[in-house]
Amino acid sequence: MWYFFSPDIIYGEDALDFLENITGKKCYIITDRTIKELGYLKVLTDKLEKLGKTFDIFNEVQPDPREELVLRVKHLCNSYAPDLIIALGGGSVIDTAKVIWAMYEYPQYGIDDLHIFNRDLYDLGKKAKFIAIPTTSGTGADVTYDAVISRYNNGVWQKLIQAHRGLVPSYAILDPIFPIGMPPNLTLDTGMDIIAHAIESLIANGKNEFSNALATKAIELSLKYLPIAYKNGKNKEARDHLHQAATMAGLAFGNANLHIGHTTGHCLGAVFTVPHGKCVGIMLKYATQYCLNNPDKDDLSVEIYAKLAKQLGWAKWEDDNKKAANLVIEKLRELYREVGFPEKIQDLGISNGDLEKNLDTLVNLCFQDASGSMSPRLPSKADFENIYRYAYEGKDIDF
Amino acid sequence: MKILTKEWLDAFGKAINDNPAYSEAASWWEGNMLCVIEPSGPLDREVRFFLGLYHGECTGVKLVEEGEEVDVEFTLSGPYDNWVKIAKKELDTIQGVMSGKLRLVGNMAKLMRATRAAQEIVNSLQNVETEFL
Ligand SMILES: [Fe+2]
Repeated sequence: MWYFFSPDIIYGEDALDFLENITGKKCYIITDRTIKELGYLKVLTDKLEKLGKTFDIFNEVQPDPREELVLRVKHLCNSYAPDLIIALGGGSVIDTAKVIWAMYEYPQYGIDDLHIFNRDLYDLGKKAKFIAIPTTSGTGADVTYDAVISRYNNGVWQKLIQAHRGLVPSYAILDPIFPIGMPPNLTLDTGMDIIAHAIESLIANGKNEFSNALATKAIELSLKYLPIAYKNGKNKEARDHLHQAATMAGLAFGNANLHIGHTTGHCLGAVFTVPHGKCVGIMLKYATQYCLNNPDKDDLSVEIYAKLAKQLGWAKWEDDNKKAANLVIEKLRELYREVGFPEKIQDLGISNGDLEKNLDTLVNLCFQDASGSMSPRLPSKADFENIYRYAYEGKDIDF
Repeated sequence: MKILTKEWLDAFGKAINDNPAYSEAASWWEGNMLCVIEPSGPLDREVRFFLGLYHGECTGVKLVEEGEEVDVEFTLSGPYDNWVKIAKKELDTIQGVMSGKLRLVGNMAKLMRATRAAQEIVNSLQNVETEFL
């Protein structure tokens, strides 16, 4: 038995109008200040008013939401007693709302109760349905089943990954009216995150036919539309398709997992404080090359990426698999150059000395990153070090 | 070696220590584990074994007698058939836990940081000649 979890998805221009069809009058909106300042919150509240729904708002979510904040919102939400919980924002907002939704259904719960063995969580949504409205195209948090919450423990901030398939939102509303306002650099970084999610998920150890289909389409759409949306953020067609691609890639990796591109990217970002999309966008090429070089003859990575290249028309069906699979790397190179995305760690302004000084910490973190074990090829300590060194220099992985 | 015998378990502990990838991946790990193999398929009684795990090393293994108490940080339980799938690498340990095929008692946040280490324990088992029931 295996499974594929997904919310109901409403997408395209005016997708927000679908709120009309969702029963429930009292809405609890979870968002952040930026969303309010950008006027997006008003877009939503105007719509709700028009539909005769009432609402209360919490707009103080911070990036990397902390446990105390979440517990404060839990209290506010529970006192308001909504019929609908609506998250309007990026990954941090949606993650916060997932946790609030679960703790609204089960007020006796704390963060630690939201774990994968808690069967009650399959039964969420009796008190309120949960609607995720992403305002950026990238994280896929609107369709994934985990929430990352920070806790201060023994003098350090610990990131708790609370994961349960019941935390998948009831609805994801993908209205391009929100991402259309994303500035070019954010579009690029989050767009690279989409591509990393889709490409990594294809060979991650939870890969399945559902996730593969969505990853393939997400790659096709994001390679086509990311450069357009980056250069002309107002292009509606590009924004709409990139928004859909983000959710498809979210469904793909949410059900199939990610692996060492995200592992090495997460750790790089944590140590050098670099945005997520930038890090995983850079590391993706090196992680993919490392997997394509897998000496294990039973590994299917070459076959899978060759098939992708053939399906998307980059290679002919009769082409040699190794050659076709390498076109994935070539496509990434073309994209990096077209949009001016950094191709190596050095381009982030990190000195070689700083990288070497932090290499031990980076590799230790890699070994403790959950996605690290989902790779078809598991790097040793020396491999992790060399992946970073090669990625620093921009050298193709030859081991 | 017949699975779940003392001889097999000793070989398992030795295989963990002979696997450099485990010591690299688990250099930070502190936490002993109890594995509970519940009757299913050809196994007609419950078998429990202890794995001492500290800083990338397997510090000891032991079959735990019925009624015997052991002090562990994590307990992983499930039916024999599911354990066999893990041992044969047909099922990933963490996926097994995530899908409820195995149950874990212990600190989940800590376990989520040890997915690679868990995988290397299973990889070590590949080097033990195992005769299944
Ligand atoms: Fe990501």
